[in-house]
Amino acid sequence: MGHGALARLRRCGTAILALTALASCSSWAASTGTEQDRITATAHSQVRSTGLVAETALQEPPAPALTLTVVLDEARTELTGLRQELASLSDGDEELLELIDEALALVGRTQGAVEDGDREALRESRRHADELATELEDRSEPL
Amino acid sequence: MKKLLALTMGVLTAIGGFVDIGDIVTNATAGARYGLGLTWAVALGVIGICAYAEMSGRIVAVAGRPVYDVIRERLGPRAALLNLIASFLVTLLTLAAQIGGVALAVQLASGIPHIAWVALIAVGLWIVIWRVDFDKLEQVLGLAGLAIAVFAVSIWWLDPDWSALADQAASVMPPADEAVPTYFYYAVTLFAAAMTPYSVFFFSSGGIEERWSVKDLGTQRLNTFIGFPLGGMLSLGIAATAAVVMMPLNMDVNSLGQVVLPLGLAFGLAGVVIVLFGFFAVMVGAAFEAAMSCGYMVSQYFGWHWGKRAAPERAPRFHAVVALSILVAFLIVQTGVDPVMVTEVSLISAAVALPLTYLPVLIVANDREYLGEHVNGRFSNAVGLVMLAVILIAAVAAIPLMLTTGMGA
Repeated sequence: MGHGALARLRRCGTAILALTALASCSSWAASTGTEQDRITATAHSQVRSTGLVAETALQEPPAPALTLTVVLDEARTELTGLRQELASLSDGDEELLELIDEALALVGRTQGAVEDGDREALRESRRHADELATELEDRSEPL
Repeated sequence: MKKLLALTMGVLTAIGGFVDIGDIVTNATAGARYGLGLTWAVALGVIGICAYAEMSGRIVAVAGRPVYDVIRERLGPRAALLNLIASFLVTLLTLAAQIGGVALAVQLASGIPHIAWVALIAVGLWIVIWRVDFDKLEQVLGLAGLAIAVFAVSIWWLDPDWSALADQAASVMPPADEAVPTYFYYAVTLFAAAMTPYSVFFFSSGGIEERWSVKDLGTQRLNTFIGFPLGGMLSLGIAATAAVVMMPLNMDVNSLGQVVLPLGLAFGLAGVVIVLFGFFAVMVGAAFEAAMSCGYMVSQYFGWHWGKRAAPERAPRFHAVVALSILVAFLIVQTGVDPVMVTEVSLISAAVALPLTYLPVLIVANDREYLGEHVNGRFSNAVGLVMLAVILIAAVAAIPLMLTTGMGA
């Protein structure tokens, strides 16, 4: 390979790298949003997941409580992590923190209802999950 | 009856090799986010895996030698070593993901944390590989894995908007309100999930174990062209249920437990029991294939005696590689790392390594010295080259997309 070809290859490589870096910066901004948006979106998904668990437990015969409890445990772990993350942010949002606390309480109540097979409490959990998810959705348009 | 049994090989490869933890997680995640909007990526993956599995099967049937053996001879030890290292590392990571996936399925059935099951599953897998007959294993896992067809059945129960699903499936562009890089990140992971290298190596090495010859080419093609598309359809069933249940809720899917919920909604107790059984079967099948593929790759490269049918004392190095691969995969999962995360990393690594796996297959499939009159025809080469171009694009884009989107966040 001649010197000319090598130089052209180098220029081409540099241009590709520059374009990739540019695309990376713009798409990072486009795809991830702010830290609070991400926390809101994840909390929203866990609340929706909890609502689905309540709805699944209302089927006849219901899904195994063991399986549903695992899904609720995952939601609790995720929400607890989000709460800690939000609390550590310098501009921590009090309202969002309250919503996450509410979501954690909802997970606890749903778990109790699943274990007891309490259909009334499950219906209440499903309704509450819908309300909470709507509140979280309203906070973040791009959800 | 004999032909039907031969087809079981294809079904096992399709379900264990095509549908595995990678397909389950990526299809559910993409389905919840884009509906069936990434059907084209799965379709491309199916075409690619069919094309290259057929070539690999043909190499085995005509040359009567395993693919890695021929690649080493044709490309020389250095180039083949690069191919071996890339494919082996990706397959090892895939094995870890499958073992973690089996542990998650058992956790969902038992309520006991998955980490408690990992050692038991790794030992169980090793014993099964060591003791259970190859034919029995492929038939049992192949048929049991069909249980995940419950996803496809549940779509009818969930009464979806069929025209919306059809519109999504026909779409090839990212939705207006979604970031383009994230859309293509999921496209790459779905494509890589369909084209995981281990399925081709398991399929072709299985051909040696089954003693394929030129007269088996027809059966081999039937296995490929029925088995892999069937796996693709089952994958899309998972995406469709997520599209019907989770997408309207704007909900992201990031755990295996969430993937199960639509089945609970459709069929209650029975739905969850069937799908957990299906998950267990496909992931054990995939773990078996990935572990065997680790042994196949290394043994074929170094020219060691190998094979599931060969007793350990006759193929000690092959069995040692399989056992060591299971041990390393076990150690990866035992660190407590999230198996879903391992799956995502393994898929991106697979995307990067795909050209190293598939380019040599295309080269050998065009070599008359090995394949005589059975070399690639124009159609096979056209499909192979187009798919190689797609593979190269996916390989180049995989890491930048992973970094820029924060793994699809």
